[in-house]
Amino acid sequence: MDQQKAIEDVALIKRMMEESRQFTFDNGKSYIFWGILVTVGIFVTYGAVLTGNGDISGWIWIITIGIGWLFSILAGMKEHTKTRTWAFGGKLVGLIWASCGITMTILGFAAPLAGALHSWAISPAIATVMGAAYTMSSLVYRLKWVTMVGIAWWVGALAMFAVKGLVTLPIFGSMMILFQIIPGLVFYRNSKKSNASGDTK
Amino acid sequence: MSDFDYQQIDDVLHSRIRLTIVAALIGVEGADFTFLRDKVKTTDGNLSIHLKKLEDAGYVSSKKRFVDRKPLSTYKITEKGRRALEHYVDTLEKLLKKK
Repeated sequence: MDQQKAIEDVALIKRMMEESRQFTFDNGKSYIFWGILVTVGIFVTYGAVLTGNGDISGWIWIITIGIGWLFSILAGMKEHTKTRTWAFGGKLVGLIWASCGITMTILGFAAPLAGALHSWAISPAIATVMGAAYTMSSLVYRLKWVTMVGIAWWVGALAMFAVKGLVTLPIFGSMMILFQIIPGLVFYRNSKKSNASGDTK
Repeated sequence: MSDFDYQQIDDVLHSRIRLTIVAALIGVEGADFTFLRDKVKTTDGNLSIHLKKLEDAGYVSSKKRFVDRKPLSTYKITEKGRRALEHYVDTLEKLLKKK
């Protein structure tokens, strides 16, 4: 073996390992879908409360979260049959979001029903869990900006706990756009770029 | 003159195609045939031959399943394959240091 071949082999191994790392990147679709769905749910609820129809908000969220979970389950099943590679990191991110999703569903439905959480406090409580989900995911993605998104969710949660009341809804809706839909679009763009360069998922 | 021992070079991994396959599999839990073909950029027949050599060496394991009634082969790097790649990288590093 000559030195040139050794250098090329080392470069090849490094490149392949780096590319493999990228397979754990999300395509962003579920981030975008949940972001849009919850944003719509928030502003419909806000509108309903402002127009004196706040009593339907429970139904709005049963439908919204029901659609979200149905999408996630169907997308997960489709992904399972279509995925060409699977990585531990991808499974870990899936588990983080699934467990945080269940936590948020319990906080959003069971906690207010039990009287343990006031309805205005649902948004900051969920934002706190979102912060944890993004921060944990960032360790798998190894992306600093995802950690920053997690921190932004926590700062937003504190702000909502500080201001209290109905105003938390539009704040939470704006946070969904900034810290859920936009990160989803970044993941989607990166995934498209990655596919275009041959790193098909 | 270098005192590098050329016998340390793993013949199985010395092939560029087989090295690409193993390196591609190291970062993922598993991958299917089409993914590897795209990575290696070779024909189905050629890839099959190299995968067979890697399986025979115990570096890669395969599993066949059916998706929409079509056979789908998936491949994983084994512990032996992982160790072989690590050893190969060490050998390359030694070679580069010696020269």
